[in-house]
Amino acid sequence: MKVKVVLRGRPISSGEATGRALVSRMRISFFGDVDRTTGRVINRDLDIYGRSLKDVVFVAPGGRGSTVGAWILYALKRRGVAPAAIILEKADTVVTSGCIIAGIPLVDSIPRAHEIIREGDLVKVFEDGRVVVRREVGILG
Amino acid sequence: MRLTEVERAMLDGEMGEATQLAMRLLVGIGKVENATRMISISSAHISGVSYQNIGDEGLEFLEELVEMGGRVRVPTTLNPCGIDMTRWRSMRIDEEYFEGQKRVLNAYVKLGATPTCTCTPYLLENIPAKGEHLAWAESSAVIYVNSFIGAYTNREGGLSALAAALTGRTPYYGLHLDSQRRPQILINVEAEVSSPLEYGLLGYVAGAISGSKIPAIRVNPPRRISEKKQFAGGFSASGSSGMAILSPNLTSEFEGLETVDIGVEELKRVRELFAPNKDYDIVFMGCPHLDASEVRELAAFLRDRRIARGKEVWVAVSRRLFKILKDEGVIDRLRKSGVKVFADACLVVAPVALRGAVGTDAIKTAHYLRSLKGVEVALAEPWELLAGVLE
Repeated sequence: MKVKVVLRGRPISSGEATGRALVSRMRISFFGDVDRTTGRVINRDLDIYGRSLKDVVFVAPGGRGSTVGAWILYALKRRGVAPAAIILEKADTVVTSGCIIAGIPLVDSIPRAHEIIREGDLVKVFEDGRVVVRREVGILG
Repeated sequence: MRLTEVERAMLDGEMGEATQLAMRLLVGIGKVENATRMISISSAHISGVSYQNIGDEGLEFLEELVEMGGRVRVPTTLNPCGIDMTRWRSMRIDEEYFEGQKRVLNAYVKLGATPTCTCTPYLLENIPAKGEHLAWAESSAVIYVNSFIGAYTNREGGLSALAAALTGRTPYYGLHLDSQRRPQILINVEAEVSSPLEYGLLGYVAGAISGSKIPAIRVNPPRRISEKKQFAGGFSASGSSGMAILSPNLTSEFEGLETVDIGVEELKRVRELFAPNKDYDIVFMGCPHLDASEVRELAAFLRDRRIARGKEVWVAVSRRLFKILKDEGVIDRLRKSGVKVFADACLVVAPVALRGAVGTDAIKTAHYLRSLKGVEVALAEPWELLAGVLE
């Protein structure tokens, strides 16, 4: 059975993109948490340690930490290992700056986005901030 | 967000591609922070100057902005780039890194920034007046100008400060609003605070207690520049707030706030936290960059004494101050004592290979050398540190 959910968010960095969801329940600092050349999560304290951000729709509660994080987002994009899009419950100025200069779509103001969207969901982000989530579910759940 | 006609033209790309990208970034931040409009700024101060931090991709981004015809619209200064651009060899920096750093600086200069790489632009290069609105990065400078000069700036990142420089605007929110500059927590200091180091310790404790809140701190306020700088450095390293209010007699407007008492014990504990290693071969001073009187005092203290063989003392100042002190003969006197004086530099954001522990009089250096580079530190008063490295 296919499930489709439409969420309405606020477009902070406008753009359209599609990818599989990678969901973190913790806030992220792209500076320190992510390897700038490979796009892998290198902070062992995070629930997504070891995962790659390349081409995923990255979902998390928010950002934290150093403003250098904005440069890291730009570096990931340049190297072709950036997320296709980012969805946050509440965006911060660091992730916002990075996404806008890198041209990575960023949507926020979706309460509990990181609980509604699950790992592996096919997620499409639209320019107006709409997010369409598609999921394959077994008949018996 | 309400934009003026000019700001709208910037966003629509009528004033060039670089300006458009910058305005897009500012509008994004404005949205996130629920700003209702932009405000014009008097100056900008940009971080993200170190090649180590922004990397090759950051460098390419800056060069692209140059190609797009980007140009700052207000006086703009730069943070330390890590290395001294003329004496980098004696910092043990390799040629390749120097070349990369030079390209970064060239790009900023082409964008119109003044290449005085310092974390204390408020001393000589970019002096704000009370009540002026700014877009400054470098958290210690932000705290200094908000708390001790009465200027208005948020704690910007390198990119948001650069975007503000390219447009002459910043989103009107946070510390730009008088209503957002009121204290949210009261810190009672039951201790005598006197030296720059002690103000640094106080800043560090206050930052850790306050987090993102603005504290009102009941204490004798620092009078000397060096004391204010150390407070700002410590406060910036442990907290995320951009401002503190320091006063010996806080009025009734602060009553009813959550109150925390700190005493001699708390300050001592932080000092002990950062002073476990007394065995150091290098002493680093100048975080934030030293002011003129600090360097003159150092030269007077050393007089004819020399740094012992195998030991080093590194001092960092702004390039403008370096020139002034060179003309006075102070730099040469320090060199005769064996002190290395660097301009533009910062030990924390440069790829300096450090062997063993570092002695420092700055809490901010101690904090970041340990947390970012895993280097052991010895935090102490300057004369205590020098006693360990003199002949």
